[in-house]
Amino acid sequence: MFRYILTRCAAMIPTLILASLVIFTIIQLPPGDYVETYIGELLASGESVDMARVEYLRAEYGLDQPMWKRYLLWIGNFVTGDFGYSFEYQRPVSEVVGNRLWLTILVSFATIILTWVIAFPIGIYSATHQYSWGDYGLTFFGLLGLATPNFLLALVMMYFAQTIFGVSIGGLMDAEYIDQPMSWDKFKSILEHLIVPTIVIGTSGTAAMIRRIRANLLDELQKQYVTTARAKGVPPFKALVKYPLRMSLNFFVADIGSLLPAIISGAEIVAIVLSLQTTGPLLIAALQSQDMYLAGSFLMFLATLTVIGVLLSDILLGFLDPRIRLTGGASK
Amino acid sequence: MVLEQGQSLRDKTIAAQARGADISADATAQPHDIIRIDDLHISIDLKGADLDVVRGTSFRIPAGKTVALVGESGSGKSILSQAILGILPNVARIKSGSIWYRELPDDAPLDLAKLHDRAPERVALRGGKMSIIFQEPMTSLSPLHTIGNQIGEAFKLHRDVPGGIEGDATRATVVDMLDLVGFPNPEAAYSMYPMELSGGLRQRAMIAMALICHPALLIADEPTTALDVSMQARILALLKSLQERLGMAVLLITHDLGVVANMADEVVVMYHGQIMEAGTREAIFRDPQHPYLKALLEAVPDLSMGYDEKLQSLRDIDHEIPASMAGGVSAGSDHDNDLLLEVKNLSKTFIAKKNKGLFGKTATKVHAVDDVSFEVRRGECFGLVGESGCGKTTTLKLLVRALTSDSGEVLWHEGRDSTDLMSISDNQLQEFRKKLQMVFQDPFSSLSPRSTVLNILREPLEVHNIGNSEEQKQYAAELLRLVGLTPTYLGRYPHSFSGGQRQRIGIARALALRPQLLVLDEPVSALDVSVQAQVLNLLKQLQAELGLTYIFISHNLAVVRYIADRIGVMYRGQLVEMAARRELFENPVHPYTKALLKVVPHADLDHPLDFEAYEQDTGEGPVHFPAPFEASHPDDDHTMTMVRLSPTHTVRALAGTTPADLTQS
Repeated sequence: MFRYILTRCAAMIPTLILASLVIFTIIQLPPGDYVETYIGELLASGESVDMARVEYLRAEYGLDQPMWKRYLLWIGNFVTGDFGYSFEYQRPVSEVVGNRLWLTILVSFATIILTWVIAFPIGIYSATHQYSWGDYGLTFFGLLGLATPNFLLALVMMYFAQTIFGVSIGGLMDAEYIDQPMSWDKFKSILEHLIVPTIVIGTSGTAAMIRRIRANLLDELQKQYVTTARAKGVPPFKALVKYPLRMSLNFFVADIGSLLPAIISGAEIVAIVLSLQTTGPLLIAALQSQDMYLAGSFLMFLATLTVIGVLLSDILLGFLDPRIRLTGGASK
Repeated sequence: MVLEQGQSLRDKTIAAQARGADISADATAQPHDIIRIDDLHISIDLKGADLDVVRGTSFRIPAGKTVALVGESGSGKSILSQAILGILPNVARIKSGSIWYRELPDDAPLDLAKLHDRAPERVALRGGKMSIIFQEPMTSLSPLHTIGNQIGEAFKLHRDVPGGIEGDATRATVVDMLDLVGFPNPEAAYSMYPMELSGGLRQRAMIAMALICHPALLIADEPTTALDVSMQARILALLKSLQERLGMAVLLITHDLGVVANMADEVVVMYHGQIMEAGTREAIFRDPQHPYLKALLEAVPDLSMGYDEKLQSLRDIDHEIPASMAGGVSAGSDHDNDLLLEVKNLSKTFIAKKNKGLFGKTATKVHAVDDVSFEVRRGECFGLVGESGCGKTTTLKLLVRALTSDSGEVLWHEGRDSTDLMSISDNQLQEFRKKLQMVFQDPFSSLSPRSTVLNILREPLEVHNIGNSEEQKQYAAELLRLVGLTPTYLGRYPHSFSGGQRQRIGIARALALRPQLLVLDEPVSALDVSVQAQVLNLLKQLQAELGLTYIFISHNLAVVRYIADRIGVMYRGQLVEMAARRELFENPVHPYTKALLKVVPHADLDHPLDFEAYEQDTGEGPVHFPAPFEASHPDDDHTMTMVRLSPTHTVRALAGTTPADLTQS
């Protein structure tokens, strides 16, 4: 197991190098660079452009260097913890992202907890009462949730909140608390604003989760060892939790890999619709304005989290399932 | 020291079981009925329509005795056992009738049919007073929990012992029980997972779990069907000795009449949810009355039947040879007895890696196929027998190049040409695939559940670009008729067919490319006895009519004896004896062949199995043969050779051994 973890960690390095190359290439693909976009904006607003300043900016940001040099500069700094400088915000990337990071994590965690709390009981109920009215009803609502686009749901809920309750649910806190230090009132305001985004973002995830728990558990319930457990007199609930449910959790653990990056990037489109101060809209804006270091470092950060997440779920699976732990390395 | 301790533990267990033994001593004086089933009706709800699967069944299980419930699949025997235990599937329901349960003669009878499955009295009985073992030792244990945990749970649920499932008190009992069912190292087995154990040991673990609370009734649902004959004999011997020691009643559900003849005191024959005939073992075997029972007895291949006798299947199938195939697919059918396939010194080694603690792995070499040579002649059926793990399936996979061999040749002879299948390129191999096709063991997993029968039969033609869509469809219909099915089935999916029908579809698929050689891997071992005869007869007819050559693998000696012309016996990767059918069965020479013939249960009361020889034998340890059959030093392996006794009979023995030496020993 220890050796396995070591080799897996070593395998992460080439994966990340490859990912960084892809990310860098994609960011550089659109013609032009941030300075050109900046000039374009200045010209559009009728201001004159000082060519000397343009050249100075280019040199300052290293944009006059060849591509491979820029890549090495970026990735070298990234490894040492310097994520670069955002052109647009005129601040280091770590500051720009850091401000929004905690709110993003808060929204994501609330969403994940809500998803689990709703999906698990419903999924288990649906599987153990297959083809009952309860199963059909819950499946119907689940599919409805799955089929409704998040941003549409966000718009609808904003409309009803406005017309019926007369409150604006945009943002993650009331406007007066933005950039204020944390206080009890600010905390309350955040909690209030958290409800709608959590429900909106969580709906489709919950529905998908219910379907998967139901399908996986149904497969396991057919298995002989469940009958064995019943036949030796294990009480029904315990026979469900100890054997088939535990077995059907493999998919759930395998999912943790994709969960980590999702926590950080959040639901971008919903965040824009509801004007949440999370990292999602930031990333999209950075990509649009070719804010190279902000976008690149952010994407690289996500890639790293994905790789770590997958490693974590693989290790967990190894601990949870002896079949994975014990059969590794057999050759044919 | 450790051994001594194990011995004393076993003595203690036996002492602890004295209470159970007393009951049986009383019971033998006048056995009361522990279960009495009275006019029981069970139905299954199929989307609104009720299907009666058990219709007015009545029988009894006397305390301490074995009652065998015999019938083909779908006869309702398994559902009956589930009803007794209270683990019926959700769709099944007891409509009327009673299941009277009485543990001791003086107890007031309890009607189990009136109790809900989840009623506390019922839950307490399950696992405590009555328990079950299943057919599939591979799937009936949870893969995520250790053996010790699963057995301990059964004990903890019904006994008031201090500590948890893996606490000291429970642990000691579990280890004793593992010792009792014959685990070579019970302490180590305690913390093992099912996947680390062989099929035979898993079934032993299952038995340990069922018996740890010393139940009054054990339901054994096809306990040995998934095991090979040698393991079957060991498990049956174990069940019999445990039954005597614990004094429990056994309800043995099986379709194997050979097992019944060796195990049962009373026999109940079921067909379509009704009892056809019931009586003592003597009455059933010596004087069968009901035509169904007589037909069932005739449908089972047996070692005592005549060499040219035809099996009487319960339901014969009519098939027709399409005009395009008539006259034989095999181009060289006029060269009868020509060499078709020659296997020379085929070897394959697997590397098994085992995790060893936190660091490192140990790699052990396993000789799955070790220097195997045999030849197959045009138009004959060559049988390969041996217990599971002896390398028969690996040999087969090497022949069709599903696995790559380490060394050796497989020569395909056609006219004067011969080609080595092991060394030809993938492109050439593609052509050979048409000549050599395979039929698999499991008819359920070998057909894709998402393809219609038409697509299943058409796929080989598409792969090899034969005919256009219309011709392929027509040909698929002919193939179905060839195996006795109607072309109207073309649009159906595999799930709507029975096991026997699926296997026939599998055979039709294998015949689609008009192969010369058909490789059959245990094609009837997953089928019911009644259907088994049907498929065997079909295979025999097809072989004669189409001029096919078969390589037939089975662990069932009676089946191989029925269908094969020449037979090779494999043991631990090596071919130990090879002979024409009659010679092998009448004059076996190798000690392994002799042992194998001894463990086949006969459906005949005059040939009982010798259980005592197997009681404590788990089949896990190394087996050594006397001098001419095994080198005295394990490294002398190369001095072993096949000694020729007659033109058609060879035996593996030390080089230089004369035929006279062998026949004397």
